[in-house]
Amino acid sequence: MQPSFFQKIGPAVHSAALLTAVFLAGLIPYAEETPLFKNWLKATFTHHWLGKGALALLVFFFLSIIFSALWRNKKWEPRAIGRLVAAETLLVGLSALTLLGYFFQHAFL
Amino acid sequence: MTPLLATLLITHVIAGIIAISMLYVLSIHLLKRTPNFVFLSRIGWTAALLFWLSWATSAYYYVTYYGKAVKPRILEGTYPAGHIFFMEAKEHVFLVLPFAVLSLAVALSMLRRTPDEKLKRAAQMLAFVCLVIGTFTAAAGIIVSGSV
Repeated sequence: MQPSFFQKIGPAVHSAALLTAVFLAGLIPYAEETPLFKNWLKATFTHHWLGKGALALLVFFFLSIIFSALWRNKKWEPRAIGRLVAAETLLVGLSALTLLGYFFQHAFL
Repeated sequence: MTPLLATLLITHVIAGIIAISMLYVLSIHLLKRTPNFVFLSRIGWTAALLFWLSWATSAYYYVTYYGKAVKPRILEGTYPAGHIFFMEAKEHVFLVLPFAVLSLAVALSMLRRTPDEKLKRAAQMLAFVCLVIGTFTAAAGIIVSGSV
């Protein structure tokens, strides 16, 4: 059976989403702690939050395209994709907790 | 607040709440032994679309109105943590959600064609984690509104 469109792009999208979550967990505290970078985001994207979102979009779509091209002939077993989605889940959760922890200590400690 | 901003804010809230409800539906249905993946992939894509819509509408409101008109009132009010912690955490934690939910929709579309137990369990965990993040952002939004 020929792989469907989603089977072809799936691993690339999951990997890109995983790395985008990790990227955001690093980018956001870095921007908050580095006034020069935060000001650059403000100057370039009119608001630092828009800048963070735009960079995340860029990373996600860039990585999706790159991984899709790299893996265009690779055949993925559904179990392997399952492991990839499980890793993505873990890192999305950890990234969210990192950001939550960062803003908690920033606000209260 | 202009009618445009009010419409965008309402769209942000309603789209976000419906999308979170859909994540709840996904989390529950993925517990079934043989879920209907045609139904679930449609729900997944709709949730992804609604999160992207919620993001776009909130962006315009947040950048043009919140910082000038709402944030100063929260900071001068009795509960400044409404902005200092809840808004800051909400707006940033949310950023992981549109990508994760898009990826969830892709996984559900794969399951529609090739059901697999391991992928199904991973998609269920991802739906649950997204549900928790979504619920936090919605709850934080309520606290921010109550802090004005």
